[in-house]
Amino acid sequence: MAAATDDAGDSNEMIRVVSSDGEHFEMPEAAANLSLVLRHMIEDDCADAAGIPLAVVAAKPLAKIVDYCTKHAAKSSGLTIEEAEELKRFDAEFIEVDTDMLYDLLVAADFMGVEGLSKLAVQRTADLIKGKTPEQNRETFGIVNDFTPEEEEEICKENEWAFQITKPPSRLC
Amino acid sequence: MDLDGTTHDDDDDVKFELLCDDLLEFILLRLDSPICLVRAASVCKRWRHVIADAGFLRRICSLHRPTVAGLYSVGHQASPIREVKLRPIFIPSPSVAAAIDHRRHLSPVFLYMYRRILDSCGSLLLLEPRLCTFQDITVYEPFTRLYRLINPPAPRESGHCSVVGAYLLGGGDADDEAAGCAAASMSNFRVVCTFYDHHDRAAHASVLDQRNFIGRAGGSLYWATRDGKVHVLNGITMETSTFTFPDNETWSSSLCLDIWLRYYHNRVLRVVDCGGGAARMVCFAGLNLEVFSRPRGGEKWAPEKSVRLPENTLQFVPEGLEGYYVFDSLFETMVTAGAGFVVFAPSEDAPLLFQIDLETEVVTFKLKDRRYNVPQFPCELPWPPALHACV
Repeated sequence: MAAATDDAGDSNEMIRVVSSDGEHFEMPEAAANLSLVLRHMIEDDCADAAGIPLAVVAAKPLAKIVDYCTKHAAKSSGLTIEEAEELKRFDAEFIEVDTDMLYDLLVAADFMGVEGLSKLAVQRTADLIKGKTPEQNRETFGIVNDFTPEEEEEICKENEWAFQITKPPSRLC
Repeated sequence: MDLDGTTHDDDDDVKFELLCDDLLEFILLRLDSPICLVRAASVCKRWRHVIADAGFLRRICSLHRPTVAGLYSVGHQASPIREVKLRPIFIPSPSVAAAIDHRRHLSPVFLYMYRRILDSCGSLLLLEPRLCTFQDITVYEPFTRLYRLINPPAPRESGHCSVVGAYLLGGGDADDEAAGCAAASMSNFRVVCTFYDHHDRAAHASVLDQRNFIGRAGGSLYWATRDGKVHVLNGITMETSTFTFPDNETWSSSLCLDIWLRYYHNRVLRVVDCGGGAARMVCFAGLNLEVFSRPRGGEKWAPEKSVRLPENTLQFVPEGLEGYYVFDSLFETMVTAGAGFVVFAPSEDAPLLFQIDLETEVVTFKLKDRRYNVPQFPCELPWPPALHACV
């Protein structure tokens, strides 16, 4: 788990959270505040030593989310261009995960109300969809093709141009 | 949502099927090109159902600009003075060339049948079979190969009117301004013709002449005349209005000459659609590209930014062509424009073209074949694409 960096907000208090499978995590209050749900619970004094239970977030994605919030809280205001660039690089590396984890992050970030992470995961998923044929998308996301062959033919015919991948020219021009 | 925390890696292949509708919609709204969208709508019934929804398609069109498939040209000079017949061409945008078979679906062969491209808008071209007669002008959609012949009626019973311009607009709906600004497609277009009445000797009679045309934005058409006036035809209400060009100095130093000597594909002044009904006016002033806009959607035009051209474009010139890299404030011209961008040539004879995105100021480079030193009309991919089957 990432340690809190020097200037992680006014309050240095650590907030404890508990994953659905019983693992405990800690992050600075400024980091926890990036989650709408955690912020409301902190405001309502629900954050105690036992930790805030997150019933639908498993340990694996929660560890990532704590990482994300800690990093972003430490660098939230008055960014220099270099820092903004570094944060961008962090995000790009952070979201390089398999589709399994991506799904967990999408759902958990949405549930916890971490807006930045939610956007990041949504964009990453959209980027994975782009540039793929329907069959490749089904494979990537484990989706069953529920069209009949007749329906598939009709759909292809409607926008034929979108389904033909560029062939190299028959002769060099 | 019941997500079992102890789930392990083996059986989560089907996880994405569990994604709630809201998140799925958020994700699919990020698809910014019709190619991705059409393909995503063919993955499964659920994805198709979300994408083909009319509300979803309206939202996605307001979020992303249409994709320019490429530029068409009939291959001869549209200059009224000299005409050199060349081969029709289509120059695809790099992203489109990589994704679809443009040789098959966007081939310019149909252009052999026509003398001129009069206009382009959305995924449509307006074509003229015989020069300067406007008889049987044709609306053509290269993607679907659908076409419609149009014969402009005379505006009055007297036979003393002649057509001086024909333009394409998206479908007009007076009750729905957003629909009026929507990209033109075969199921959503209008042809606007302007006439010159030979009996009407008023000074402004031929103001709305194709030679004065400077572009379109937000469903309106724009013309400029020598006196420094810009004339607007609101495509929704069909009313005209006139305003004075906002920068007197620039007008009298370079633009007033432009209007007299140049024509549409060889201009230093353009009006460009920047999405959501917003317009920008772009002109050359010396070696700068000056951009004007109407802040907060008001009526008044104000300078927005100024882009110094030589400094911003030199890095894109490929090796071996530096010799052509001369910016000539007399001959730099905007060859064409589309939603949010202009394409310009730094001087008359150089085989160099640059495209500048007015929002981001990003410049990209295009190589112009010297023999095809011709007007170029952008053609967009259908946006939104047609998704009627199996929904």
